[in-house]
Amino acid sequence: MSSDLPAPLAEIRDDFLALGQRDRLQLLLEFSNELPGLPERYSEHPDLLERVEECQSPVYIFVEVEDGVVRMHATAPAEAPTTRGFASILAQGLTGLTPEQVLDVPADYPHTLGLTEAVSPLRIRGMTAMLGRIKRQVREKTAA
Amino acid sequence: MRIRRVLPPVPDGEPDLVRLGEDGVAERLDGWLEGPSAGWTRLNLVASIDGSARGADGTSESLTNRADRAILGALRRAADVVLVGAETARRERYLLPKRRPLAVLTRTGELGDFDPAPSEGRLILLCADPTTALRERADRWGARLLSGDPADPLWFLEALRADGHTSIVCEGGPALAAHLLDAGAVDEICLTIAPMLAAAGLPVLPVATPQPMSLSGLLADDEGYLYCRWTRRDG
Repeated sequence: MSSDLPAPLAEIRDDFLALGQRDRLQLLLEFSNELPGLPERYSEHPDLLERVEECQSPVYIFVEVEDGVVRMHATAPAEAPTTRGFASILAQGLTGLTPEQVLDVPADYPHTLGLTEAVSPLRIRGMTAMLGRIKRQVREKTAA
Repeated sequence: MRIRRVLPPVPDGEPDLVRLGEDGVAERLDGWLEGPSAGWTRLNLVASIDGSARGADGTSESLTNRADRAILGALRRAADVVLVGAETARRERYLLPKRRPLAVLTRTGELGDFDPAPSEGRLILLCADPTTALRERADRWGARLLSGDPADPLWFLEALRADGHTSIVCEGGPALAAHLLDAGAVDEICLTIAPMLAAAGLPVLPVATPQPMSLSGLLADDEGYLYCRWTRRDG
């Protein structure tokens, strides 16, 4: 049904919730395989990337706001598939939204994916922190 | 949320229900929604009771629900490729499907703000007469670009088959769906009927040619959504 959540994020959430616990973890791994590489201009400028300190694994994010559209980039090691999966969900779900839509995404979105049995609370808090840092970057980049 | 199989009836002793969120949901839906034959073209669309392909929000988002999404996933898994028109890819903000490539058909090469994450091999662009700009976009996205003879109204199905995609699910929009139906190129229509009057006026299947059809399958969910499948009735 319709909800206030932007369509791509609602679609991702519904895809998780339709599955049983075992298949949800598999879906998260599929997301982790899909995290796009960084555009060249950032891979050559690691100083532009922000580390998500709350995640145990080294995950870095960068948010662009151009022509009223948000694009989110992230990089995380292949050895950290859960974190990488979360970054991929946010990159796919947030990219293409307006800044207002991103700022309105509920902070507890990571908790609504039905992964609390399969993934440790610490990891899910890491994703929540990632979302928080993305919103902060969006705020900074739209205020300028 | 549960999905019940109404038609065809399940064999004695087999469950006729799936409950979303349980293990094995995907396997059972896959069994219920197998393709009609080896190598086929299917339509999968959602409409309101009054036959509109979009709801009050201007997209199909307000017509779909969680069970519909699960069924869409099963219909995608049954296919080799997901085909949509460029307008639908733009309007519905298509995410690339997880396990199948997405083929986007564009006449003009104009894709507007459709801008998927670069993804080697997961996107196919179909354009009979591609512009330089479209070729550059395809390169940037890691997408494959297939073209063909625009004089053949079904050149893009041929191009997909020649590329190894013999089972094709087309998710719209209505103009492309009607084009395929009028050309006699559809083996099965999968139509979700959402229990609402949308008063939004985008006819879901604006065909020009009358054709008799047979109901080949029917599922229903707890919210009153109906999942109908029809095949052509010959003769």
